[in-house]
Amino acid sequence: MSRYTTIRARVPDLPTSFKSGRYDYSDPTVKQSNIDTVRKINNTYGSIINTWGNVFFIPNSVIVGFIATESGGVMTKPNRFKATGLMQVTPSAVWESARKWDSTVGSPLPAEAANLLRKNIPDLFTSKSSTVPTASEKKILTLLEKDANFNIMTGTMLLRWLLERFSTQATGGQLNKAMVAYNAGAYIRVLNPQGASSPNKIPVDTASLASNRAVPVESRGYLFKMLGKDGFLSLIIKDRVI
Amino acid sequence: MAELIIFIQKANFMKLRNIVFVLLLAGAGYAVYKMMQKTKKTKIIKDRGFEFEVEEDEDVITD
Repeated sequence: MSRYTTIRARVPDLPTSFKSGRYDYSDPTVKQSNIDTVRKINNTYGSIINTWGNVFFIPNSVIVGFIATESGGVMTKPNRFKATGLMQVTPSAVWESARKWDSTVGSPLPAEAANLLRKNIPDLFTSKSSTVPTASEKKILTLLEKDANFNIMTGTMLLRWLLERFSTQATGGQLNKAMVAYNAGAYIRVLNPQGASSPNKIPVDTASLASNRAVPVESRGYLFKMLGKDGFLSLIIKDRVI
Repeated sequence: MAELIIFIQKANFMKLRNIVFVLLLAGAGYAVYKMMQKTKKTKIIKDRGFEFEVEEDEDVITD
């Protein structure tokens, strides 16, 4: 039996496609471009994705979908929020999810991940600081930008941490909330109405989240990109493009 | 006067019968719609602790 919560999701879970101005995921040209992106990610990083997918018990399809949505499969430099690389991970998210793993997930961080983190960021588990010290932040940023293996490992770790944060065994895991939290931050008010230390674990349907104005616009778009009609999960799981 | 009362009673009855008829028709239509929704084929794909409910397209062959 897995140590993690079972996640149930409908694919697609929204009846319409992602649209932004004239850009429309249902447009055949855009759809083909998205299929090409997904295939390229799978061909280039498939082996790394499979390794960390096994460790954190997350399907390759979900990780490929996240990479496609976050960066289109491009190892990007840090943006103004310090989100970096394939999975647009920030140093603070690495710091937070690794250090709070045990208390949130209820089991130890898998040894493969803990060893890689310890080797690259020696003070990660020993530092008294709740925020990332500058020297460690620099080191994490460089790794996130240059090392695809580190980027995918930390992104997958963060995703599992968020899935468990908004889950109970009774309610099951909620992929839609984890997506919003991955994009907008684990502590946004709409997902933590009682405060950062008590995340809302009651399931919310994706349509309600996607129409809730308290959820940032970009995160609502994220739901359509991933769970909408012609979204990345639909292409990968329903249409089996990889 | 008596004729007028009979006419009104008759008219109301006709109206009520029409309303009941339309309501029954709408109810039957809704029931058929819900049944069609329920019979839409879906399949569950299990992968590493995830269970994806995928609606099957009629022209797609699945294993």
